[in-house]
Amino acid sequence: MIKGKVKENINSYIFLLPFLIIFLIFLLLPVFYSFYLSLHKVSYSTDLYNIFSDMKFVGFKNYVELMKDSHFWWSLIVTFYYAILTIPATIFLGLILAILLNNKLFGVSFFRSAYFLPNVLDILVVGIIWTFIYSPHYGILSRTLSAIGIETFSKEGVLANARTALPGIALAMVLRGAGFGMILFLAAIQNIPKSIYEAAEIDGAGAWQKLWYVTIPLVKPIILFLVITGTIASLNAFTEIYAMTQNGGPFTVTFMGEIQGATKLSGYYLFENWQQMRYGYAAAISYVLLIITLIFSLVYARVLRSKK
Amino acid sequence: MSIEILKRKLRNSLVFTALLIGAFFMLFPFLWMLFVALKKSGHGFLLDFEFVKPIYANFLEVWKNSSFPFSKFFLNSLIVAGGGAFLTALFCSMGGYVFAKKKFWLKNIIFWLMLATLMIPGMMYMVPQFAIVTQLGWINTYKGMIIPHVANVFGLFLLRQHMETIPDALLDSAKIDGASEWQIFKTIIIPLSMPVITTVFLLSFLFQWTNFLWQLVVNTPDSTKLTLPVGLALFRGQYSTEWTKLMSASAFSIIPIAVLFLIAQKFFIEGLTAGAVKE
Amino acid sequence: MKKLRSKIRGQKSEIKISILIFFVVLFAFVSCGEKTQTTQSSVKKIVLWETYGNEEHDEIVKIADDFMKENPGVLIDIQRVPWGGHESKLMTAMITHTAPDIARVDVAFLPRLVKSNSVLELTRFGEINPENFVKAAIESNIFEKDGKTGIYGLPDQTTGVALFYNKTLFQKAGIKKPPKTWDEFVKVAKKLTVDKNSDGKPDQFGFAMNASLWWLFPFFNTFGVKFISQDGKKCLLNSPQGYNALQFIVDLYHKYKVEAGAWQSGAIDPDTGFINGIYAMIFTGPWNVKKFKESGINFGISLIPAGPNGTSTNVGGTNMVIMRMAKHPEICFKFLKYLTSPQVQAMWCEDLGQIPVNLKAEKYIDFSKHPEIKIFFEQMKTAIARPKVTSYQKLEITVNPYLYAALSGKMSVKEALDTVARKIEEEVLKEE
Repeated sequence: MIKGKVKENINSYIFLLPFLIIFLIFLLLPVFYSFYLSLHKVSYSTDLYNIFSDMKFVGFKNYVELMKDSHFWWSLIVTFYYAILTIPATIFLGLILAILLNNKLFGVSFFRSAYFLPNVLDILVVGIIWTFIYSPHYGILSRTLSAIGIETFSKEGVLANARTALPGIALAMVLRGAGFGMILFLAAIQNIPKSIYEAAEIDGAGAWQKLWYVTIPLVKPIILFLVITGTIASLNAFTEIYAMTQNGGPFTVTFMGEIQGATKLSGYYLFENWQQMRYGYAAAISYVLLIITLIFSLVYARVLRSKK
Repeated sequence: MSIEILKRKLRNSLVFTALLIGAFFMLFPFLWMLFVALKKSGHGFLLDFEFVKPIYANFLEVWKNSSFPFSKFFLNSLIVAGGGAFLTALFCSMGGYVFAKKKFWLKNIIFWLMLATLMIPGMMYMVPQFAIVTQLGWINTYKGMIIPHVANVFGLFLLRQHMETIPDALLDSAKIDGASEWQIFKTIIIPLSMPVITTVFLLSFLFQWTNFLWQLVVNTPDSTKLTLPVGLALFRGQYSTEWTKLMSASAFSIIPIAVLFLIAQKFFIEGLTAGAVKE
Repeated sequence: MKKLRSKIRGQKSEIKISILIFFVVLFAFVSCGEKTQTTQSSVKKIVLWETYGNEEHDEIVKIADDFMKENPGVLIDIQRVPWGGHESKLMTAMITHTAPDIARVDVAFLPRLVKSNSVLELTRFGEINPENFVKAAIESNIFEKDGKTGIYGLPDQTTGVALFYNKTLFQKAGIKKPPKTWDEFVKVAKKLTVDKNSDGKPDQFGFAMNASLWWLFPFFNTFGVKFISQDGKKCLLNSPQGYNALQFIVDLYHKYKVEAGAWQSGAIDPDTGFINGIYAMIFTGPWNVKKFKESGINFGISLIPAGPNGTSTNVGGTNMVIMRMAKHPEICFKFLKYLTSPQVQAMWCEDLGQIPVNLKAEKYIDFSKHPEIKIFFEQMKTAIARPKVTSYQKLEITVNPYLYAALSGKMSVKEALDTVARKIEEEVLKEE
């Protein structure tokens, strides 16, 4: 029995080995290194040729500074808001599309490709295109709306208005990303045996009841997966902000006595610090983000598991 | 009976129309990109129909540009993205399999460590990874571009999720038939997970295909291994960007993956139905 | 079960074949790609990283070829880096000691490079006379370090903005000459802001601008705003001149309503609006001349309108620096001197229509090919160098939100400048 266990262990590790080696060297090592970095400070006079041996050890000073940094707290709030805007919408849209495309319909494989295609596009390109669409006066959105008498977007457009900027970005990203969720849901739904639906039908379940009591519980793992990956994507969001706003603007919000960018997500704030070579501070930011996401993931896992 | 059929037909055509409208919305940025790619310089932003003459002139300029050897960049990108995606799919399947079906030492700890690395924004990895790649002497090589991104934790989780649904009975019966671990993996796990493996392949292909900053950094400018994203970046100038040309260049880089997806699409839909064969 | 097996078997061979083909193709490529380059050791090789556009790239290759003909035994290897990401690239290259010998960098990057000892001081290799160069351009290379003043790079390109105006729209509005002062500017811009379809909203604007700090320097400089005190400890932005300058900028949008709001996120940028005849006047630089000419609009260029301090503009551009670990710094220096010599600069100017960095080049230049360069050349003589802070980028990040807040009416001009001055002192001027 013990022998069998040892064998299973060895076998498992043989399978895991290629992945594990690369993981240890290229992912785990940098993560620990980031922690080391977060205890250091790269100053303006740090030797750029030997940056890592010349930086100064500052202990937890970066973290202390971070706790007092209004921009950081603001970026967390905005990121949270962005996650709320994007995650449920992506999941909902993906699920609806998957259910519709699970029918035998004319042109079904065209639709599957069409809905997935936006995922292929570079976020940068998608972002720029949406900027064209959203622009004030001449953008297709403001023109269409002002033709029917709605002037909300004719002066500032979507992206220069602190209220609509982030939802505007979120919409662009939801439309881009929903196809991915659709593919995953589709795979899961097709794996649900027909007999379960037939049994439900015999019990007199309507379409909505089938969706609520059969489909959704069975695709729960996919939902969990999308929620976690969505959270990570929100915390990492950078390219869309870079492409669609001017450095996280519009700067018309006040928070903790400072002017804040209405779309300056944590990922973008991290980028700003990283780009200025404040590697220590950037590392501290990413560690705090890491802890927050881990807590969220734990909570999600609990909530979704207990709701059986 | 005929009323039933009529009803279904009506419903289907309604759904069809809704899907068509939805597809238009979701593909709108893509169509708009093609639209901009055909326009006159400086008109990219505007709602007009000032096209270049001949209509493909922007594409021609991108194609003919001497500092943009398209076929070379394309080939390099194909190798990097294809090789990277293949290795990712393979290693993730192997890892996903043991996470789904085996018990082994430190399983939970490794799992949480993996989850943790997933949550650190990508740019934090760049500097340390670059230092490691340099230490290994992998500058200007395909492996330098490929290997650091092969351990895709995302893909591993996705596969693990799926492989957990493969019934244990299937594996046990194969074991009784005397199949080795590798045979089980090859003949049962892989075929049954093909749709998800394809998904992972496609996603990593996409990721590697557009991974601009990393590919820029691990290649010196005189490298023979420069890729498409690095080449495309040359169209974004210091002071101003030629939107129309950038869009035509982007269209160039997107079409190959769109085609790849259309081919793979067919394959994994077939795979999906194969996966549905149960018991 | 049997059905499954056979199905699996069928798929298996398919997978096997595709994997096989894939690897054959892959390795065919890999093996043909990995040829090692051999260089002769007797040749002194200099690697130069530049971030030019296509035409500039061809030009510098030509210049390097000429230089190599004059200096046998030297190989100048010109390598191209995309502008986007070039700083990250240089940084990472330095960390691993794979940086080039000469690098072309944005003027704003220089303080950092100098402070961290990453680039070499140049006067030890030979003489440089700063008087020969466009003042604002060479000044970005001069630093005081350890009590000594030194020159740490040579400008290879200098730019600044001037006023571009649409001649067709001017004629339509009956305006004969471009405005010379800000008062005239406002008057003219009002005439050029037109509601063509009379729906209550203008469809053509007199002026359009970007609103990040760099783009607003022409205003600040013509109003005589000083940014930093002599000792580099105090920010002087919240001076009467500062208030007036920003108030004027804000008024263009809010009070006179002649500015199109092009500074807002997602708006049509000044270049595009100008090409399409929506914006009658914009500030921009020589880099756009070719594009504008190709688009067929009839435009003129003139000096930035004068304020209390006369006309002036901002300074952009790049410098060539010799990296600390350069192998043959004396040859690098020789090449930089060659690149910035009057004759070569005159050629650069004529071929590309760009402002020469060397003032002595003027007498060699035939301005008939690019008449607009003469205006830019004049304008550049009035340019004022940017405040010399250790991190210019940090300065932009600190200031821009407040400029935006003032422009959008979220903050009063006084409030914005008072806060920003304090922030600059706390966050930018403080040593890090």
